[in-house]
Amino acid sequence: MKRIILIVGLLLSISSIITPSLHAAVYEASTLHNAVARSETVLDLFFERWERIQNMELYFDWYGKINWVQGFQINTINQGTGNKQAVDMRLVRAYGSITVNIPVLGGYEGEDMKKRLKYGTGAYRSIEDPEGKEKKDEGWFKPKNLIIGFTATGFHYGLTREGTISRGSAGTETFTDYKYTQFFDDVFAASILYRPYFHIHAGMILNQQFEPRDDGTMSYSDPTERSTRYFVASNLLSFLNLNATTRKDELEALAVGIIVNELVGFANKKLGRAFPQLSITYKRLNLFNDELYDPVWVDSALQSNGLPKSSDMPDSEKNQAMLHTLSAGLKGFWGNHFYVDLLAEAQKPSEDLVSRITKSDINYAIWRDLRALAGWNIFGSSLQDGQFLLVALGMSRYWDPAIPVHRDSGSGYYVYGGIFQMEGRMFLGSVPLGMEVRISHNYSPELRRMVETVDKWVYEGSLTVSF
Amino acid sequence: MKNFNKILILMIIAGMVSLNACSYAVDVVERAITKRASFSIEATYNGNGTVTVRWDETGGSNFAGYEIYMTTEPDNEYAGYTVIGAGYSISSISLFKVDSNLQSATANSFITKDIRSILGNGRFFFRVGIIAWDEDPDKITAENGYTGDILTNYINNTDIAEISGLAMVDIY
Repeated sequence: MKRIILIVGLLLSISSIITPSLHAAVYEASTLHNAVARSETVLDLFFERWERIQNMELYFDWYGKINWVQGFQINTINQGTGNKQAVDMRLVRAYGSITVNIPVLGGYEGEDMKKRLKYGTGAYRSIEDPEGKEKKDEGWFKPKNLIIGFTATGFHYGLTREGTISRGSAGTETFTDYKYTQFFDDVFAASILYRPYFHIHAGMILNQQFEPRDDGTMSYSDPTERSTRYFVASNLLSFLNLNATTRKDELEALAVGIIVNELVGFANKKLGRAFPQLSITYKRLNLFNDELYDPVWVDSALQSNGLPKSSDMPDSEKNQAMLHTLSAGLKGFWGNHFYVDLLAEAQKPSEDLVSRITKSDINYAIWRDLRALAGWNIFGSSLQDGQFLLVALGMSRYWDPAIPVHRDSGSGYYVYGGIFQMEGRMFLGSVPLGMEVRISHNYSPELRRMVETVDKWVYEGSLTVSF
Repeated sequence: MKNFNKILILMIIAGMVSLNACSYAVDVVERAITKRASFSIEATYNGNGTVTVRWDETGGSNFAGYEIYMTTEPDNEYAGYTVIGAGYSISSISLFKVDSNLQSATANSFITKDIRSILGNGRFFFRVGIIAWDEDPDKITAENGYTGDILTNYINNTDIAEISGLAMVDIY
């Protein structure tokens, strides 16, 4: 077992690159302590994987990513002197996901992945029947394509410190200790797919925090905080997405989205497939809760008795604000070579928000996230066989009230960022292997996952095995 | 019967997937790559300049020995560590002590040399490493770089498999 873990680890490490240490910044966790934001992040990964699973018609999907961000210089106690000193630490973000889909009735068409991935083939678009005419007589109540799926998706975030050991003539090795709070978030979900009419995911999100011991070790058995959320995500007729997350009988997050291509496809299939996937999504999220880690106070910086709000005020003094967002995205290949990923997201909080730095009202920007990525598929027409090697460049502008808390210099609420990425897929037999390498700086999808990485270079790699 | 088998398979797979908390799984992989401190130890000052280090963790299948490390710079938790005890003669520094007991998987303690006489007083930090051969026992062959000389093999073909957390000791 240990050997298997190490082999998997080495595979992952091949595509994981350590970031260079560039800037020193005192680390203050905010997004990390916000279980609402973390739930959103782990669900985003769940949906990202399921988008791939749906597009590629997968029975099995395993995905792993290790991301190390260096350059977190922490003012921490040196147990040798009892004094604080700046110590370099590494932020670890490791993600994993595994999905197993079982065909209960029918299943995907095509003998194997290679055939299912061919452009124009698949369950509803065989080469002989590109318009799906043969399927016309299939009614809603003829369940020929019923699939049940199970997914476990998880994130681990936390700081670690690297030390060195001289083993004399046996050489020098390094080790790491856990430092500060470690966060573990998991999604456990069951899915029912009755394609193309609907699919439903339902499951639990488990957010846990662990405090390492002073000696740098940590036990998984004793979380200091644990919260549970439940979610339902559904898609009707391939074009309408409805997602909701609840906690303690409260609706914490709600999203409604339309995939325009699928809607257009009802009237004209060719037109629906003629351009990359265009989607429009509305979300509302109970993001601000007057908690210690929030970068803002909701409504006012004062309690009802006129005293300043603080971390030890009673819960009755805490206010809550939702963030409403409306986004439009265009994503996918245009022909065999050109790839595009565009997003524009507008935002509006439900209440006034007060900066904890300036103590004044924040003039909330209309645009939360603007980004554009363009890529070129070097393999060209091999895309029709499911193989590609995409090289892409992107730019973004991201606005967040926590950015001034974490940025190395400047004081604004927004940053411009960029990314270079390579993504490829090829076959080992009939099993597709996917890889991705990204180098980014302040790129908005990274900041959405964790705003603490602002002004840090992030290098990351991932591997995927699917069939 | 066919449906029953499908349901059974579904239940088994559901159980397997639900047992696999991915956040722990990816942490296990990452910490194996970066050799995260994985077990705790105790270190006690004996009053005569020596320290006794104790642990409960036992070696794995490719066990090659235990090694004891300490910071040689006083009062600095973040100083580098140096080997001060091993089952083989891998260091020539004055603090280093060969203890053949550390070749045994059942060893669970080590007494250092007189640290005070060498480094003076101060607060020092200790760790224990579990050392493993880099090949399974059936692959310890000349083709895989094992020459037959145990010390040379140990120096060239072992790594730290597990490392303990730190233990702090005041020497006075």
